[in-house]
Amino acid sequence: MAALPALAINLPNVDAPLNGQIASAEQLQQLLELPGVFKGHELTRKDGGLTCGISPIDALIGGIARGRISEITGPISSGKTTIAASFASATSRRGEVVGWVDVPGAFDPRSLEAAGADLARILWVSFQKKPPLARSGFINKERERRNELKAAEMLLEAGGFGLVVIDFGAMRYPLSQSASLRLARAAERSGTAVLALAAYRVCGTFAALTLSMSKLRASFSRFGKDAPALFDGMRIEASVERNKLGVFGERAQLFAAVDQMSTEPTFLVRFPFLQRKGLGVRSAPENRFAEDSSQTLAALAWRLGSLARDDRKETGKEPRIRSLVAVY
Amino acid sequence: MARIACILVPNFPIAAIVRANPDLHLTPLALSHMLAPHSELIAVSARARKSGVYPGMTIAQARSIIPGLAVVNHSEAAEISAMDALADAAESISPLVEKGEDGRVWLDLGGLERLMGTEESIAAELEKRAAQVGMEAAIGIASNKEIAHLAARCGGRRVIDAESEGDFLNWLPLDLLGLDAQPSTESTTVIEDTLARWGIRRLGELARLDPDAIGSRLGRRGVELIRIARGENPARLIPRRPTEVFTEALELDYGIETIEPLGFVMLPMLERLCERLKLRGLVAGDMMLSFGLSDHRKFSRRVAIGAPSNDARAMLAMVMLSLESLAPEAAIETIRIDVEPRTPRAAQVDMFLPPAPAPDRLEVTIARLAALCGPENVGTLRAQDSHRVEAVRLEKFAPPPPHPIESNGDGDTKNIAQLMIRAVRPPLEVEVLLSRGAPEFVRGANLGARVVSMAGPWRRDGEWWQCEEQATSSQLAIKTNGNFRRDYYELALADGGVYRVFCDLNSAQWFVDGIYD
Repeated sequence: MAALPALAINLPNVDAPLNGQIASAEQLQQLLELPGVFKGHELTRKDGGLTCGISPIDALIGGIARGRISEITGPISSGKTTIAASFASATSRRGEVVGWVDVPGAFDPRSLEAAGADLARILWVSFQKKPPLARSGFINKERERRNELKAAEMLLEAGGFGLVVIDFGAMRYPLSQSASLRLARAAERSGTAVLALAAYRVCGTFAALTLSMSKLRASFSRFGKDAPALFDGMRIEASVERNKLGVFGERAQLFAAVDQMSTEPTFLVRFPFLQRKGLGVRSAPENRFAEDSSQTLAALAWRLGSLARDDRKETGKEPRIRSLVAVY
Repeated sequence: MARIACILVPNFPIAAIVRANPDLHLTPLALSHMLAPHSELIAVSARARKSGVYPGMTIAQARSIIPGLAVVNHSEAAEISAMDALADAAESISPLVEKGEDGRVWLDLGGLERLMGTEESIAAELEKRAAQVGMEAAIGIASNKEIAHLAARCGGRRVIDAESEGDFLNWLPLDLLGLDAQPSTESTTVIEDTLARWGIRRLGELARLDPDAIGSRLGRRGVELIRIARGENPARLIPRRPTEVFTEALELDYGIETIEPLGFVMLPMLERLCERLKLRGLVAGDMMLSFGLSDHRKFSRRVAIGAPSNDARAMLAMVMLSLESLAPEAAIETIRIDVEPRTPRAAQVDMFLPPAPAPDRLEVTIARLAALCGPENVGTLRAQDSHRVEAVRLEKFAPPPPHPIESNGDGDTKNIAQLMIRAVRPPLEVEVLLSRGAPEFVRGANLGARVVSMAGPWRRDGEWWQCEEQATSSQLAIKTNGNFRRDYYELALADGGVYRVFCDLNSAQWFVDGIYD
């Protein structure tokens, strides 16, 4: 009998006859029809792309393909880093390893951690501080770019990475055809999804997907009429500019929030006494960052201060609220 | 009955030099203690010997026969390294290895048939592994050390069965005992001449002589020769102790003054070390470099290898990076590299888990990346436990083991994304025009736009407890370890970008330290 292919079985809720050895091709076929069962070599299936966990984007592109180059382009503050970080976060949460080639040195671990990324699974490679050899002056831009691509190819050659993000920063010129081809071949050999992040398209025809991002508006809000504004986030739009594996020309809109918790109504706590005065307090959940809490508390302190001033003006007495001590 | 293999490298001093300088492989080569024209040659390569150059000639005489003869200083360091490499090649086959002299290594083959098949295949494997460490060796296998050595001296691969050892010794010419290769003392010359005068040309003829009679005429060495000829040598294998440090050393004929040519010399040394480690199933850990300098001083440097690997180029890059920070002050004349071996990390792939990089390949990749972009630029970047928003720390990349895939799709999808900040490192100094205390226009390198919307300021004041004297200085707080006092703003500019800007209250300067994207 011919040797059966190895089976990778992922059956959370299915009772399957797995105790004994699989005896026949029929049983193998039956197993393969079960949901969650696929052949070992299909663990990195090209049809099952990497999703980012953001519904509008997943519905738009259905995930980025493994073994292919995908591009996310857009000007500054268009949300391209947000989407790339969502893919990296989702991939790391699934237990896969992510490589992040950070050409401009813009990687911010705080916001990536806030997006739920498992930073222990993200290998950061940067060119921000050049090694001594590269500081000697004769290294030109082209050679630096070659180094960045070399780093990406090393990650792909190592194998086993679920996703490799290459952040080209504000690079204005596309990669040469040979460089793009090398990258595409390396991605194909390793079965790793490659995500190129740039202001413009960089990989030309070798990119399987180009997602073009743009900012619709930046959202600022206030608690009260004269209260200081808070920056809530941005409404962004993603459009599929190129897609070899599906439809293109589609668009989707989504909101990218500075503090996701603040957009959840359940976290908005209102005290009746303060509510009458138009004061809303956003609670600080445990996983919120200090700066978010500090913004909220600063807004609260400002509002309390204005209440105290109003009180003094109305009653002519010393205000009841003298000070606010925030500990975080 | 014990089975012993002997690995023999003919013309070992020459082989050791060729191993250290592979370019000399096809060149007629000779060794001498000095390079003056009147110095005598102590060893010559087969190619030079074929043209009529022999040990004992002066360099001038030899060059009159072969004008292009390469004469190199005899290098004890190269010979020691070559012997170690040969012993490593043997130890990759059997744990019981005795290191002899002049390119001779014995190993016990007991119990290896099940692992490696017949003795012929073991001999072929030994020959291959000797070639892997850069030497052409002859292999002899027999029941004791001396017969195995004699079999190896016949050249090629020769396996002598226990039954046919007598026939082999009978047939063997007396020259193969290597009397001429012994230190040229009066007694060996006398024995050689006497045996020739007696008409004894083969070991069989010597074996048939009476040991007592030979003892009275030729002394103790004569009796020993008869024992060898009869296959009665009781010499036992004395195994060497396991190697704790792998060493490669080289003595140069010239001094190296700059770092770049040093790389060309050190790369083959590292490659040879890696090959030896690979044969033993080990990887290279930390390295100790020792250089002998032209001013007779020593220079030592320890190079820590974060990710043990057998990638010679990555190791060289680490060495170069280390030397560039503090280079030797004089020309380098001798090089010695000691490598601490490490066992490679074992891992087994689980088909129920998502794919992950193989640990050894990941380590090599990290080492290569560290060589390419600097060790401070590769790893896991984390936010530091600090009130400074820009504070990050770099950790060694060690991903935890993958956990099983819970479902084929993602259960936790959401409609809102977490907005990212692109860090600007170091913060970009900008000029901010204020109107009634609020930012109105921002101008800086590649930046110049009107403020459309803003949020803030959010005061951050911290680390005042660390350094009081620095807090009072007019230095930039972001460049010191002292306190920081900043007012942060989020500014949406007319160029479409949303920036995180702060005003450093210590210096009244403005900086952009992040771009929302």
